[in-house]
Parts: sequence; C-alpha cells; structure tokens
Amino acid sequence: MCWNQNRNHNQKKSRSRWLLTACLFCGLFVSGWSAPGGSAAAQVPPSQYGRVLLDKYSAKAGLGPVTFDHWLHRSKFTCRVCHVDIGFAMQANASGIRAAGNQQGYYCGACHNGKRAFDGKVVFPACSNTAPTAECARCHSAGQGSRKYDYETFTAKFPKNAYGVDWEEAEAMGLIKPIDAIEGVSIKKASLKPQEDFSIQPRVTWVSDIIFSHKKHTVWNGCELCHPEIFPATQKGVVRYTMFNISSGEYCGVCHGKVAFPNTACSSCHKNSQNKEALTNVVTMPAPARATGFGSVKFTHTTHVGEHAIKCVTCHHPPKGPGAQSSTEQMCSVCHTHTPTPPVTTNLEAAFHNTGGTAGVCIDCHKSENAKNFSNDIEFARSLLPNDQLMVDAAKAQLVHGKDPQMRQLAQEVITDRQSEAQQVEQWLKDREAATWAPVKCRDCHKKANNVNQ
Amino acid sequence: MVVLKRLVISLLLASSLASAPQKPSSPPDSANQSWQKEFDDICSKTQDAMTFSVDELKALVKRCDALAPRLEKLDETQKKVYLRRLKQCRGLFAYVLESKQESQPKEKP
Repeated sequence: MCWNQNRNHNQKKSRSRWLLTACLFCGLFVSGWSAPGGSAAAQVPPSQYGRVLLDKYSAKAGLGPVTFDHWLHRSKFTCRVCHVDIGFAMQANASGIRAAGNQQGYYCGACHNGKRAFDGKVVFPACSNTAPTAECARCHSAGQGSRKYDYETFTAKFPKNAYGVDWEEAEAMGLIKPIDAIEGVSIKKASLKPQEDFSIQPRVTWVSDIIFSHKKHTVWNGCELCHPEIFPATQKGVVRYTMFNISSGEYCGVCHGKVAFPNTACSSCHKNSQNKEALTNVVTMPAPARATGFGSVKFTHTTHVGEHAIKCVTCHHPPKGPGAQSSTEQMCSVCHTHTPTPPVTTNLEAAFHNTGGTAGVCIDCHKSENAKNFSNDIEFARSLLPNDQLMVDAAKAQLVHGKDPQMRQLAQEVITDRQSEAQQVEQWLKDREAATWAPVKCRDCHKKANNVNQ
Repeated sequence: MVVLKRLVISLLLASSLASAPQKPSSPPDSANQSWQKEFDDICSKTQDAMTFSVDELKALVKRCDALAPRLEKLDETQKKVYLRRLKQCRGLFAYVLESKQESQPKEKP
C-alpha cells in the first residue's frame, strides 16, 4: 500500500516534472508580460506582508483579533529577542498569548508595559483589567483600524526591492538598529563569534549555488532559534531542502515567504558570481512524449529572464501560498498562444500554431534537432507519397467499378502518372538517405483529433 | 495563682502553635531566584555552544533536564515561556553534541 502510494506519488511527481520542464522551457519564449493567472496579483502588498492576525482568545473576550505588524517590530528588534528571549512561537497563534500573561510581563507585556521606553518613547501597556476601551483597538484592530505607524511613511527612506524593504541593506545603511537584548528579559551573553557564510549546491544546474548568509542569520537569530527546531540536520548534505519543502513552510520557509523576503526572490539566495552565467545556460528540454518526432527544445534563460525580464515565479510556481497554481511549472502554451501586445514583439507568440497554421510552427522551438535535419524539400517530397498512393488506390477502384469511359481513361492516366511520380520521389529520397527519416508530422500532434485509432 | 495558670497555658499554646507545620504560601524569593539563576547560567552559554567539549555539552544537557521539572511548577504563562526557552537551549546543546559526536572519528572495534 505504502509502496503503491509512493509509486503513484512518484508517477505524479514525474509527470509534474515533465510538465514543469515542458512549460518552463517552451512557455517563456515570449515576453515582458506576466503569464495569465500569474502570481504577481496574488502577492500581498508590502505593508501587509508578514502581518499576523492573532485570534486565539480575542473573540472570546469580545475583542477583535490582534493585528501584529511584523515589519514594524522587526525594524526595532532582532528576531532572537522576540522568538528566543521573549519566547514567541514561530507560528501565528501558537504561543497562546493571554491578557493575564501580558499583564505579568510576558509576551507582548515584556515591552508593552507602560514603563519600558524605546527611542525615547514609553511603550503603551498591552492589556488591562478594565473594560475594553478605544485603546484596546491599537492592537485588537482586526486589521481594520487605523495604525499609528503607517508603512509608507515609516519606510519612506528605507531601501526597497521588489518585495518591500531591503532590511539587510537598511541595517547596513544605519537606518535601523535592531535591539538585541532587553533588560530584565534577555540573559547577558557573550557576543556570538561571527559565523562564516557557506554555499549550498542546488540539484539543478541552471541556478547558481546558494550563498547562505550564516553570519547575518546568526546575528539576527542567534543559534538556538534555527537549530535544531528549524534545521535539525547536524551534517551538511544529509537533508535535501527542496523548494517544495520551503514553499510549504519548512526550513527556510518558516520565515521566507511569511515574514522575510519571499521564495520568489530567487537571486536573493542564488546570488553568487556564477549566477548570471548560470542563467545564461541553455537548458535542453526533452521532446514531448506525445510527439516523438519533435526535437528537443532549447530553452534559454537569457532570453526569458534576461531580455524579457520574466520573473522566476512566472514559470516556477510555488506549490502553496501566494502565487500557487494548479501545476508547479508554467505551460509553454500559456504564453505562446497569445498575440503579443506591445512592448512584446517576439514572433514566437504562437509557437503553438494557430488553426490556419500561418503562425508558429514546431520548428520555431524544436529547432535543436530539427534544424540540422529539417529540409522543406524532403518534407514536401515525403508529403507527396501518401497522396500519390491515395490517388492510385482511388484510380484502381475506378477501373474496377467505374463505367464512364472518360473517367476510366482519367483513372488510368492518374495511375501511370502517380506511380511514376512516386517512384521518382522515392528514388530522390533514397539518394538523400532521407527515406527513413521521420521528421515532425502533423499527426504527431493531431492524433487524437484525426487518428483516433492510432 | 489563677493568673499564673493562665500564663502557663497561653505559653504552652503559643509554643505548640509555633511548632505546628505551616501551609506553604507563595514560594520564597530565594527559591524563585534559584531556578532563575540556574536557567540564566545554562542559557547564557548558547553563544559558546560550539566551543564546548562533548563532556561539557553532555553536562549542560543534563542540567537542562534537571531544571525542567522545576519549571513545570511555575504558573501557566511563566512555565510556558521558560520551558520553551529551556527547550531551545537544550536543543542547541544536544544538536551541537550530536554534531561533534558524528564528526569524531569512530573507534575501531
């Protein structure tokens, strides 16, 4: 049972991989446009990225859920202060924060006690025993109330990237100075010895090694936040961290994709000096199983990612969360069956040719193998043979069953001419050693529609 | 004479009351400070975990295990917070310990 499940899973996986590859490699030839149904629209705005709604006990107390803006707190504190020293869990609602605990000085109450001051300002107390007041709405706003700190205003001077604030850069520029210890909460410790960054080799060849910023992670997180809870492996290479795992919220995905920069920011991790080179690599996709006559497709990252600035996530869909789609890889046809709209001008918009066959033919993409063998002369010659045979068969039938002398004479001429033509073509093909060559045939694609029995 | 008798009785009563076992009230500060001190001492060492020997790490794990039952007696929120923090400290020491043991050359049988 288990084995069968695994086998089915593997088959699905294999199918999905093929689909992925096929989509990836074929699908992107076009453009600067986002794929239909792409993930960009599904992404939350930076002001809400990492926002946590805490509603384990609020509703029971007649209050709205607590809206916690992660960006605001991470600008002021290291991850370690909150998730180690104060003890907040890494998952929303997992800490089980209660008003009583806050009043005792735990969780939010560790800082929000009406006494502690940061940046010269006393932090408002988290909870009280009095009946709910307007003050409660500062936290229990259910995501609706106005916030004292507006994201746009607060981060106006911070360096930004496509995913919001570049916190690392902001710290490097001295715009933020996250506090790493809170008096009375944090334990006095020796400063951590800086850790060395290291590289992780991905399983695929078309992306560069991951340069893991161990130094930055330990400065912000300490050791015990990540090990062993998030990364339990004690030896490098023992555990394979897949993008599927990460996108599902495991490993790096505990933070990245939720509060830290998302997994779609590929170059934030795959960023060593070979990255650009890796992206220029041409990836060869196998010929689709349904059309073995096709050659493989050579997919160029340079064209798609470089020239047309297509984002990685356009083709590599996360399996879960924002941007997730029915398959993890983009189908080539999703993009390559659309008429380009400016500024896209590529002539491969119809790589999957239109019904008239006037635009987009197989050879446009499957040129790696076909280019060296394809000859229109040969294709023309080969296309004549079945037609000749068809006509000869029809003419022979006419000679047996037909009665009109004029039509019988025409049938005889067809037999003579077509047989002669067929012999000529066969000899021509034989001379070019092309008689057995099997180029792309229409029916390779149109089996279902026109060759039901095949 | 009567006054003397009453005096003796009240003295006896007072002494018997003084020697009777008392109900435990809130834990004394010293007990609280005791676990806190041990906790702080253990968890302040996480920064240096990589520099400890296998034996030192084993000792730290043992101290964590010994401290946990004491934290179990704390009130709800305090217990939750400190047990989580202790778990993180213990986890790290055990993690580094395992890492060191795996990287040590195995003795030939």
